[in-house]
Amino acid sequence: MRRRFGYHKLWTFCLMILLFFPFVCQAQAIAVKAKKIYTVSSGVIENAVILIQDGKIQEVSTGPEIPWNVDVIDYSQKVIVPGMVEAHVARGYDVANETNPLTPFVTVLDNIDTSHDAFTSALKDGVTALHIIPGNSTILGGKGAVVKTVGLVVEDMLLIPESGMKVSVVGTPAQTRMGVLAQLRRYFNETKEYMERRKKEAEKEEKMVSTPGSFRSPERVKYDSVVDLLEGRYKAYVYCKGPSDVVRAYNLSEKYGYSSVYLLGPECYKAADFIAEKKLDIILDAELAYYERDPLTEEVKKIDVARMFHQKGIEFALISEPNRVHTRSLSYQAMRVLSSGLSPDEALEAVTIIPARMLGADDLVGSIEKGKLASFAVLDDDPFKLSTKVEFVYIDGKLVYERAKDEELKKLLEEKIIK
Amino acid sequence: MFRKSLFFSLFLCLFGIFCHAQNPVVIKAGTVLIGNGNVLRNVFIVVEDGKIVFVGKGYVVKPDAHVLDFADKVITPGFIAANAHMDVVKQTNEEGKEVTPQMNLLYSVDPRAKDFDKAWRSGVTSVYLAPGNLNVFPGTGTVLKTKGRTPQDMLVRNHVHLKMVLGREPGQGNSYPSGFGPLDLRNRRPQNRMGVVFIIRYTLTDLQNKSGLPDAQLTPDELLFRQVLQGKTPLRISARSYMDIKTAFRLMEEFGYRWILVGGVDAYRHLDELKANDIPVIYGPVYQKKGRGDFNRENDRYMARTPVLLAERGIRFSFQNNAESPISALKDEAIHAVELGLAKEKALKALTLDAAQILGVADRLGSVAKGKDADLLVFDGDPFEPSSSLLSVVIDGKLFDPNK
Amino acid sequence: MRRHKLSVPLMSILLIIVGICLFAGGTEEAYLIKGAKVYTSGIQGVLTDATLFIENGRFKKIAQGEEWPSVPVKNYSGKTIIPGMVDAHSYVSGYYHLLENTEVFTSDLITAVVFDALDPEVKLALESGITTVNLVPRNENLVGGISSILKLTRDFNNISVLKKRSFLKISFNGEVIRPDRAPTSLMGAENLLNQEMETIKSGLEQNREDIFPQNGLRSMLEGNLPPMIAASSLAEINTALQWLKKWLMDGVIVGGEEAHLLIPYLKQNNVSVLMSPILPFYPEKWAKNAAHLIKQGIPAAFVSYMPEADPLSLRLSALMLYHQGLTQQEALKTITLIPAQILGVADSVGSIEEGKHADFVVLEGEPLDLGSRIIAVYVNGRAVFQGKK
Repeated sequence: MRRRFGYHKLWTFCLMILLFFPFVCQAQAIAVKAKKIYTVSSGVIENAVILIQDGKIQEVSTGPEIPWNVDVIDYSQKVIVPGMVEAHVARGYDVANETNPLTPFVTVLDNIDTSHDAFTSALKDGVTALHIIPGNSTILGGKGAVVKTVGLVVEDMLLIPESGMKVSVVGTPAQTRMGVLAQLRRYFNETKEYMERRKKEAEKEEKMVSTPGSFRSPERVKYDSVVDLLEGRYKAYVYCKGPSDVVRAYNLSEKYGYSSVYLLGPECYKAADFIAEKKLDIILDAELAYYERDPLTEEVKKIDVARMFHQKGIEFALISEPNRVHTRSLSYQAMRVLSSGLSPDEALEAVTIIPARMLGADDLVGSIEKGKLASFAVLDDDPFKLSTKVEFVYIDGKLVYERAKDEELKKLLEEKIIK
Repeated sequence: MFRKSLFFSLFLCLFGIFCHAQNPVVIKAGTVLIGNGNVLRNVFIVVEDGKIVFVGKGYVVKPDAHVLDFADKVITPGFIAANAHMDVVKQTNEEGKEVTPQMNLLYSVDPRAKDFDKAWRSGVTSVYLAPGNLNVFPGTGTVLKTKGRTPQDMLVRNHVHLKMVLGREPGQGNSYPSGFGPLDLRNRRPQNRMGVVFIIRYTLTDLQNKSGLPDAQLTPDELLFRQVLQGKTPLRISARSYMDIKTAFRLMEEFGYRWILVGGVDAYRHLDELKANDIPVIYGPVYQKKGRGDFNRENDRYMARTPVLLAERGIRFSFQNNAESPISALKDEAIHAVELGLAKEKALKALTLDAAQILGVADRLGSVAKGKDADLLVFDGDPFEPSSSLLSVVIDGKLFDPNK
Repeated sequence: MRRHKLSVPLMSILLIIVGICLFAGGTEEAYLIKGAKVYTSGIQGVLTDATLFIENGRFKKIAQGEEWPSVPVKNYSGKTIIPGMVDAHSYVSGYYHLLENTEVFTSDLITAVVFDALDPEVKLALESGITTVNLVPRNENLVGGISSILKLTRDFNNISVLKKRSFLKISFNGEVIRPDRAPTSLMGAENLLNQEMETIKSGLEQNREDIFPQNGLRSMLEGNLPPMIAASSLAEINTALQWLKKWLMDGVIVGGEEAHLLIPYLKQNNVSVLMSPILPFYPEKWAKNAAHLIKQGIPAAFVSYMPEADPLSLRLSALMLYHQGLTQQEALKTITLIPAQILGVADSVGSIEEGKHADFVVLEGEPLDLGSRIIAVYVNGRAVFQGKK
C-alpha cells in the first residue's frame, strides 16, 4: 500500500509539471527599450520601455519595473511607432471584383493570397494591419477582413475575420446610379422581409425544439451577410465617386439603419461640408489632389483635398496605391500630407488610430498603449522623413521583419550586376 | 511755361514707362540649389524680362524694385522632363507609314490641357514632347515650357532629336489577325523586332548609298537622315530590354550615329558600353511593375538602382515619366531614386542641368545662372522630402502659385 | 389697199409704243421701293424712309426724297429691309453629294455642278433671307475640291454663278483624321498635304502633263485659287496658320471656334475667319469669343453649314453678337457685307449700294428680332419669295 501511495506522488508531481510547464514557458515577457516612442494615444515618450506579455502591451512608461525573467530588447537609439493600419486594400487577392454585381455572401478570406506582394511590401513599410476588401465595381461586393501582414495561413493572421460589407453606389461603367441604387434598395428590402420571416419561423421552430437556421439554406446564403450589416454587427464600406454619391450613400444607410465608412473618390471634396456636418468616417482617395477645369473660363484649379479637409476639421484615413510612384506606400502618403498642413502627429494618426477606429479594431491596434497588441515598427529616425528606415517590425510581440536580413532589399540595393 | 511743363511731364511719363518696361524682380534667396551640384546661401537672384541677370551677393536694390522675400526658402531651377508622356496632343501617332521622320507635333499641342497644369504645379517647367512609339521613326521632338497661351509662345526649341523606336512597340497592331483586314493600312511590316531593324537598316543604308548626291536632290525625309548619319542630329532611341539596347549599339557600329537611350530598363547591363561611347540615358520609370512589356521573362530583372549605378559610372542621365505615371510624379521618381541611394545633388542635376544638356538647351535652361531663363521653384524645405511644399513657380520671370 | 397702207404705220406705232412701255418699265424691270427702314450694310448706313430705285436687277439709285421716274412703286412703309444674306460656307441642296472621299485628295472637283435649284433646302434658305452662297465640299477630305459662289434661285434654267472657282477647300478638321487610312493625326495631315503640294510643284517645274490645269492644288500654287481651311480647335487652327505661313499664302479659316486664342497670328497671316454657327453648349462663351475676335479687327463672318445648321442661325449669331456689344449694323454686316468681302464678291453683293445686285430681304420688324417675319426676298430684283402679309 505504501508503495502505491509513493507511486501516486510521483505521478501527481509529473502531472503538475506537465500542467504548469506550458504556463512557465508561456511566460514570455519582453521589454523593449527605445529612445522615443510615438504612442499616438498619449504623445511621444522619450527613453521609454514597452512591457509586452503574451503578445499584448502591458505597460508603456519611462523606467518601469522590469522583472528578472523578462527579455530586454535594446532599441535605445531607435524610434518606435505603432504598426500602421491601412483602411482599404483592394489587393492581396486574385481579382478585385466579381462579375455578378450582387455578391454579398463572398468573403475575402476565401481568396486572400498570403504570398502576394501586397503583404510583404506593406510589412516592410511598417504596416501591420491591412483591411482586405473587395473592389469598387460590384454593388454588394462581399465581406472584408482585417488581417496582419505576416503569415501563411489566413486563419493565423486574423484581426477581424468579418470586418464589413463592401458596397459601391457607382457600380460598373455600364450601370447607371439609378439601377445601382434600385438594386441596393431591393436587396435590403428583401433582406428585411427575410428577417421578418425568419423571426416568425424561429418562434415557430422554438416550439418544435429544432436547431434554428436549418431551413431555406439558399436564402440564408443570400441574405445572412446583409442581415449582419442591418443588425449592426459590422459596417458598410461604401465607394463614392462624386459628392452626390456621398449624400445618397448616407441617406441609404440612415434609411436602413446601418453605419458606413465612406471611401471617397477625388471629386468628393465637393461634399466636404456635408461630411463635416454629419461627421462621417471617410477614407481619402490615394491621389490626394484633384485638377478641375472650368468649362466656361477654361481655368484649371488644383484642389489639395487633404488640406481642404484638414482646414475644415474633418478627420480622415489615408490609403496607398502601389501601382503609382507618388502613392506607392502608406508612409509615403503620410509624408505627402505633411505638405498639406497636417502636423507629423496628425499624419501619424491618419495611418494608425483613425483607420483602426473606423475599422472597429482600435481595441487591438492603432496605438501603443496597455491592452493592445504589441505590433509596432522600429525606425532609425523620426517617422515620415525620407531618410528614415524601417529596421524591425514586431507583430504580436514577435519579430517578423528585420531589414538587415531582407534578402530582396539587399539585391535591390547592393547586388553587383551579373551580365 | 505750359509747354515746358508739358514736355517735362511727358518726359517723366516716358521715363516711367521706360523704367517700368525694365521692371527687374529682385529675389532674396535663402538657399539656392544651382542645379550643377553647387549651393549658394543668402544671395540675390535678379530677373529681368524673363531672364536671370544676376546671381550672387552684393546687389544694390533700387528703392522702386519689386522684391520677393524668399530668405528662408529653398530655390531650385525648374524641373525638366527630358521625355514626357502627356495627354496634350490628340493624335500622337501618324500611322500612315512607319518611317515619318518629319512628323512634329508642336502645332498640334493644346496648351490648355490639364497635363500642362499638372506639370507646372508640380515643378516641371519644361518638357520634351515627341510623337508616339507606334512608328519606327516617329518624328522629331519639341522642348516646351509648360505654361503659355499658344505652343509658339511656349517653345524653347523645335526639331530636337530624331526619334527611333526599337522593340515590339512599332510592330503592335500591324498584323492581320489582330483585327484589321488584309488590305488595311496596318497590315504591313514591321510586325516584330526583325521587321523593325530591317526598316532601320533599309532606310539608313539607302541614305548611305545616296551619299554622293547633293542635298538638293534629296527628299526632306532623306535630308533628316543624312544629318543623323553626319552626326549633326542625334537619334533618340527608345529601347527597354537588353536585346534592343544591344541592337542600338550594333546599328551604331554600322552607321555611326550619335544617340541617346530612352527607357533603358536594362541599361544596367550595358554600363561599360554606355560609358565608353558617352551615351546619355533618359531613364524611367524608376518604379516599375515586374514582368510588363516586351521583356524576355527569364532575363528580366528590374534593377531599381539603375540611376545610382549610372551616377556612379558618371553616365549622364535624366528622368522620364511613364505613360501610366502622371507628369506630376516626376519629382517622386527622383525621390525614389534618392531613397535607393542616389545623392540628392545628383538627383537634382538629373532633373535640371543634365536634362537640359541632353536636350541641347542648356544655354537657356537647367540652372540658376546668369543669362538663362528665369524658371525657378520655391520650396519651403528640402525639395526631395515629400513633406516639403512647392510654394511658388517662376516661369520666364513670372510668378505663379501652384496651389491656386 | 388703203387699209393696208394705213395699218402698217399704225401697227408699227403700236409696236413702238408697246416696245417703249415694255422697255421703260412695267413689271419688275424697274420699280421703286419706298417707305422702309433700310440697313444698307454699306457706306450709307441706316436709312429711314429711303427710296430704292431698282432697274434691271441692280440698285440704280438709293436716296431720300429725290425726283424719281414714273415707275411702279412698292410701298413697304413700316417694314425693314436688309441686304440679302451671304452664306460663305454652305452645302445647301447637295449635302450628300459634296463628299467624295474615296481618296484623300480630290482637288479637281467643282461644287457648282452639284447645285439643285429644285431642292426644298434652297427654298428654305431663300425664305430665311439667304441669297448668295459659297457652295463648298465637305470636311472629310484633306482636299475636298473647289467651291463655287452662286445665287440662290428656284429657276433651274437660270442659275447665276458669281464665281465658278472661288476657293480650294482644305480640311484639318477632326473628320479628316481616321484610323483606317492616312492621315491618322493632325501633324500627318499637314505633312501629307505638303508632300502632295511638293509633288505638284516639282511636277510643274518639270512640265508634267498629268497635272491638269483644273487641278485645284495647281491653281492654288499658281496663285489663282485661295485656300479655305476647315479648322476648329486651337491645334487645328494653329497648324493651318503655320501651313499658310510656310506657303506664303493668305487664306480663310472656316470653323474657327477657338480662333480667338490666336489673334496675333491671324493678323500676321492676314487671315479671315468664317465662324461656324452657335455652339449648343455655352452659347455665351461662344458669343464672347466671337465678339472678341471681331473687336480685335479680324475680318469675321458667320456661316451656316446648311443643312447641318438651320439658316436662321445666321440671324441668331448676329443677334448674339449684338448682345455682346456690337451695334446692329456691325452685327448685320457679319452676315451680309463681310462674308461678301471675304469671298471676294463684294463688288456685286453683300450690301444695298448703287451698282450692286438688287438682293434684299423685307422684314416685318427689326432684323435682329427673331420674331420678325420675313415678308419678301428679292434676288436680282425679282421677288423669289413673298410671304403672307
